[in-house]
Amino acid sequence: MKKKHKVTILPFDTIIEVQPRTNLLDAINAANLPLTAVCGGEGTCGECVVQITSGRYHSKPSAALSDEIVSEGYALACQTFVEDDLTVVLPRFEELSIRSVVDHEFFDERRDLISGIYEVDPPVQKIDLQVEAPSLEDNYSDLKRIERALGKSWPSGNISCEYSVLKKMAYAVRKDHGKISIVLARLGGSRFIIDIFPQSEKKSVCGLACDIGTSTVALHLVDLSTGKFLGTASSYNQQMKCGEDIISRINYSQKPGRLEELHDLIIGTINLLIKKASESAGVPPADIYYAAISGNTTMIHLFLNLNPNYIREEPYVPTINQPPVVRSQDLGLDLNPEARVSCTPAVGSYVGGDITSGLLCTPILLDTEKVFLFLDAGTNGELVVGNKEWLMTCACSAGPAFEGSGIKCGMPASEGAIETIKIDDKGRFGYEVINNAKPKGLCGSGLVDLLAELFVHGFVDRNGKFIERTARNKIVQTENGEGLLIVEGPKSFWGNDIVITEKDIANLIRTKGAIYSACSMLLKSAGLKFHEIDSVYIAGGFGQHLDIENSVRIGLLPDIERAKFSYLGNSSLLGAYLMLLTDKNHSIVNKIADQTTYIELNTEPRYMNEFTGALFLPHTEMDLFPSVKKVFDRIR
Amino acid sequence: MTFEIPRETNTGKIVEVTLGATAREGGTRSHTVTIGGSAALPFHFFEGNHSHRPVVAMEVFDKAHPKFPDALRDYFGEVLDKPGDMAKKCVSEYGAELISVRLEGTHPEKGNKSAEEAAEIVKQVLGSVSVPIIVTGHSHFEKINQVMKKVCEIAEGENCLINYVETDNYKTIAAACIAYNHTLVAQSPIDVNLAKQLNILLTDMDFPAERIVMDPLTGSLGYGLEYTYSIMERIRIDGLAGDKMLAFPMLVNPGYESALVKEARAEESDYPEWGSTEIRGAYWEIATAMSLLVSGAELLIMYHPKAVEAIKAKIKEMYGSRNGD
Ligand code: FES
Repeated sequence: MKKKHKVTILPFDTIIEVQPRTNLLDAINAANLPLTAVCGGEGTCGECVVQITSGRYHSKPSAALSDEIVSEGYALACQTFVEDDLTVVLPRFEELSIRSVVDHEFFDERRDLISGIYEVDPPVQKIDLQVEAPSLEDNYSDLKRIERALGKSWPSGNISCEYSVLKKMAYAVRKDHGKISIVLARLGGSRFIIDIFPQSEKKSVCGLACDIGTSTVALHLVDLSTGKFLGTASSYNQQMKCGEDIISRINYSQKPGRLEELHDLIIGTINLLIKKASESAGVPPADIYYAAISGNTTMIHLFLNLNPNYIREEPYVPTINQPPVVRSQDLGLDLNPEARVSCTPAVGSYVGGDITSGLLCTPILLDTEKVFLFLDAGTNGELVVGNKEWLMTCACSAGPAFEGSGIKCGMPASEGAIETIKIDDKGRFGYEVINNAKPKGLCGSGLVDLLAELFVHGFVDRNGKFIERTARNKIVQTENGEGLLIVEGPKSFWGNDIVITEKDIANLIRTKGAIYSACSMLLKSAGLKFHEIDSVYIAGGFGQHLDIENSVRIGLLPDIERAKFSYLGNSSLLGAYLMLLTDKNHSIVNKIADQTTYIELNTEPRYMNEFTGALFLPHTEMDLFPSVKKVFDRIR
Repeated sequence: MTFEIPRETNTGKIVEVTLGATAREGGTRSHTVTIGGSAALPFHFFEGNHSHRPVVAMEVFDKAHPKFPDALRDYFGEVLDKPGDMAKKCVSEYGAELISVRLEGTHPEKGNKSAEEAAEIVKQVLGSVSVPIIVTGHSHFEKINQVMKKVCEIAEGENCLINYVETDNYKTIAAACIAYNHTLVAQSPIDVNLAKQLNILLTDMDFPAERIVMDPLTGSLGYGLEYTYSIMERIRIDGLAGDKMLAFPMLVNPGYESALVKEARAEESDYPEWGSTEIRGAYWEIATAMSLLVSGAELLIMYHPKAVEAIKAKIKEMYGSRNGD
């Protein structure tokens, strides 16, 4: 028998052994890794691209990749055969260099303008203690003496100590003559000592703020003593291969073993990000003692390995809205085994902790007079309207288009993404690319710009279909039908044309339509008109910037005063960060979750009508968009 | 105390659409037919003027549907396969006010007749009757575009009602209608917004509003008629309230819809309690057509001669001496 080859697949660190000349796509699939093959291995779609960083292989030439790219080791897995031990990177799952839209400055400037509390008093923190040495007169146990020392600065109460800590206690207390550090977790009314070490070990105590999105996952590594960011990482949610939206994930989870699989995929995704962030920050994962997780209700169920099925079925009831604190070792997270993990509370099945935590970053709970609208344009779109006195919320299935999925040229807001686009009077495209790299595709903000520009420059009609007369000399043939050429092959990173098809545009219109119509329904339920809203806060994975004017032009956002809008980016992640910093925010989000009224759109017959009305540029009722009407009349 | 009927007054009015063209207008029809023009809900004579009565068309085929009920064969016998002769019979014996030529046989999976053959059939029908003509197609975009282009061309000036375009396929056929002076049916699947969107798209390409007829894609009795009814009613209410993009007359197909339902075709021996097949189909069609009429339809394409007779009589009765055009 011939010698087998070892294939190491990054970033998963999965190693598989295969027979010589095995097809690489088959090998990756056998390892159950999420590589999509849209064309079924025909070598035409280019979706299965990998980068091979070491080892010999044989690849059939393909038009889907340029020579330049091939010379850098990129290859189509479906056209490649293993001839050696290989190291293979799946570029789609490498770290996404998504920058967050707001950071400390945002909170420093707005300390008093946000509903959350911005102060560094984390529920898990390191406490330095001087423990008195035992003597014949003072022969209390080590633990009692620690409790006594702790009682001086921290009013006493019940303190429990983890078994793993007890095992290290005798050594730690004596090593530096009683100078010890303990890691104390004060959560849910009880206090636990979750680690102990001599002060000379100078370990830092870190936390993790993490947003589990249906499409992407992002986290910040935070120093819990200062609140500073130490590292940030994000990537696709590996569950993507099991369905793009929450309903298809729930369906997927219903076969035996599948819930475990989804759970393992999300834990695997997070562990990979922990590894990245901790390596770049030079902090071992064992120094991470606390994680604040936010995500929609389904993602949290899968994260906690709970059956999400009843979220999907009438009357849409989840197992839990306000999950208890769990230990990282129970979930398999690569943190300190005793680390505590808390999830932000949800309002209901379709309005999750990502929303309650997002609201922390807005002034929605500060005012009783003004009315605020918060909208998270994620794969699962969620909206909240109200103020300190009342809150109403609803959710809609928007799809991942603005996060760059389901659109041929779409991608997350990471390096190589076109983030802004303009069309000039001569019909030429001008664009800006994240990190000034060669363009790979368009992120959400780029797609919003593109659609708006195509519309106001008369390249597409109000139904999003190409207008022959103007678009003719930009039309190219793709395997998905006609496409409009945005970047020519030689100028793009992959060496392929960057193109938008009518199908892509229809997808974008569906997404923006779902969000707008949900807004409109929610406001109607509250008896409000759009112009009665004082401020609108937008969250989502569009990228660094979202052009408000263009968002109005395509009918994603209502046509009201532009100054009322603010774009927050990933507010779920920021909210998780606030939760990490102080547990006071936990009571605030619990209160939000409790006092919010949830409107179920699935059972609301008018929603369908609102939705089909919004499936047009900017909307079937042009009168709802007077400023767009002016522009449109002018160009016509 | 006298009872007063509450009255709704409307700001809008349904567009008047004229079908067919006489020699003076560049065609060869003996007369034209105008539909639309209502300023109130159907038959609400007390609320506003209805300038034109609803009209009944009958349909002939380039290829008779294999599933058509025997009752129809009894009436038409061998002319079922001779569209020119059948059209003549429909007009002279059954009082059809327009003739629809259904070109199903051009569908690639249903005979794949060529555009030229289809044009020939339309020409034949134009020659055999003098009422205005409707040309009814199918949903194979590529083929129907070819066929309708050809039909529009050979029937230039006749102001046929070209039936139909939909949101995903309207440009070619609409352009041909503009070029050769025909009127167009804008079909959308039972939804107020989708109907409006297609009308906007058409007018955005400068298609004249007075040449648009809407088909809200209705179902027959027992197959979603209630839903159809309320959508048509909403379209009409919005149109009368001043929404110009919904203020078009409506065409419906109670004949085609009813002819294919199981209840109209099932053998009497299998369902003795359902009564004779001879008249059952007519009843089914009458119930469907009457409901559509009340929800706002102005142009009905019907099949069963008995149903045509009944509906025409009902319209006459309801309108009485009003607007005798
Ligand atoms: S699977 Fe499509 S190119 Fe490989």
